[in-house]
Amino acid sequence: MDLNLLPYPLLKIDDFTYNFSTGSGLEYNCSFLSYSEYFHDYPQIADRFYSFNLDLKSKPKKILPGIDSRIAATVIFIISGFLESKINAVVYVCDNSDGKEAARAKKFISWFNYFEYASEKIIQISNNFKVEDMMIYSSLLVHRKNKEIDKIIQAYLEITKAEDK
Amino acid sequence: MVSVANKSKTDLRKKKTKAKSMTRTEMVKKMLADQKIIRDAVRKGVPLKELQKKYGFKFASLPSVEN
Repeated sequence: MDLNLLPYPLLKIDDFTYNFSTGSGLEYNCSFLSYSEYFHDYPQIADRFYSFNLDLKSKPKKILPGIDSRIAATVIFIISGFLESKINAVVYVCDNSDGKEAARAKKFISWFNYFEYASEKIIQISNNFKVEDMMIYSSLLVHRKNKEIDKIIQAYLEITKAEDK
Repeated sequence: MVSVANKSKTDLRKKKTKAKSMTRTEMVKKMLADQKIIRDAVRKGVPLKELQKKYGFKFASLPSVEN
């Protein structure tokens, strides 16, 4: 395998957190937060939904040049592993605190399309919707062999559709 | 101590009740606010277990990794 496509080594630092460090010294924590509270109308599958959180442990002192494909490979590795049970689904809502949510969404979608092994196993559905003045960029990731896949997709599309006026 | 524990249980129940009647706008705002809480906790080195206690967050237990 191309070295640039190898995931960074993962550390499990507690029950809920994976951690990895990049070649340029950035350190990330990853976790999955239950989104069951948003799926009350789908009690049979509500507890299958999780968000994915990828958080830098500290802000980089300077903007690093180039693209680090190994971060993508690591994220895909973590999410693919999480979905491998064929039970859970992941909803990714792009952070909009810095105005870079559109770029973030584009990057996230491209990661999954780029890694063939992930796109063979996992379906990604992206739904962007407007809430008040905010454009919200979101994606659903679910294993193709998840037995509740139809219900999961339907529920995701329902909660991310534009709000009725 | 008992009253504090009861208060946190009440707060959690309130959160759950509120979530049931959320509009989509409230839902999205809560999703983004929760993300920020987690991001800030990571920066400050606060374990996610603490967020479970404080905010009623439920995180997935992760399996061990083989690199």
